[in-house]
Amino acid sequence: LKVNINGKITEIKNNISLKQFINEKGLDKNKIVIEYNKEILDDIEDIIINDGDNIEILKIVGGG
Amino acid sequence: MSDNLIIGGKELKSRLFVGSGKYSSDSIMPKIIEKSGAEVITVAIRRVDFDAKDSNVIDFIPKNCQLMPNTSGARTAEEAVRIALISKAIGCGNWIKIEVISDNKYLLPDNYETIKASEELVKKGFVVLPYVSPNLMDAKRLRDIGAAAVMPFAAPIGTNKGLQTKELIQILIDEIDLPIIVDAGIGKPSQACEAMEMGAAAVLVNTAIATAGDPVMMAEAFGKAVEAGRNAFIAKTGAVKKYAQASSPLTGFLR
Repeated sequence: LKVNINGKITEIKNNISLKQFINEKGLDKNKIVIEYNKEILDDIEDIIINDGDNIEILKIVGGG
Repeated sequence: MSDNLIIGGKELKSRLFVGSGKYSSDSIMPKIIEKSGAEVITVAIRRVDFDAKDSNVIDFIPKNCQLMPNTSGARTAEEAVRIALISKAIGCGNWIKIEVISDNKYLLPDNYETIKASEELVKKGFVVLPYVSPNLMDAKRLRDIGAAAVMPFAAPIGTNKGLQTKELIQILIDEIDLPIIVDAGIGKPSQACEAMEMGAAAVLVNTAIATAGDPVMMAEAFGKAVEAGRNAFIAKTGAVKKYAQASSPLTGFLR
């Protein structure tokens, strides 16, 4: 599958859920927010990533 | 008599807000917050960098602090609203510093887009603190749509140039019945103190502390300066006179 993750076209394997993807990246789901095809997700549990999806994974950083 | 600043129903003892950007490490934040006395801390929202070490600034900000996420990176009202909604979803609460900038050289805010974003986010229940160029008419518009404060810049972001817009900020303080928070450009504690003497409700400082030789000591200096300036404003400064006025009695001289 080819998906757009944080502005980069990324190859990922078939049938992977967002939850698995986050776990594989070692991210704490309580400290990020995911915008999935422009929609902010309250819950990432049940979503299987599809070809062409647009995924933004965001966190809090220092800023002024 | 209490002199706490109330914004969005929250009572604040400290009138110094600090940013959390530009520090060599997020782990310095607890000391910066403790020594400055600041209760309101700005943060930003960015994409996760999968290749970088996963540090999280939020782990270093005490839970009793009020987070003020900004919408930096937004070039339009629409993008600012999107970032505000993300910041709320990520757990930053309902305060939002609206920052809409499309000028990369001076980083001057786009007041028009800022007002549009502010209006929409007030309607969505946010406590809206817009970062603006100091303009009286725009500040009136922001007041009318329900902004919680107006945050004019003293000088362009990160320049440490001080109160370059002093006259315009004074007009906002005098004419707008909302907290005027001087944001951006303040480089030294004396400048923060002066803004407070003028009647600013608070100041927001990031670069001046983060890029100081000793950021923790500078944080403390800013805390004291803001308190001194506020006290001076309440105490009301004496009149300026054209000619000398003796401080000692003019009678009973030894001859």
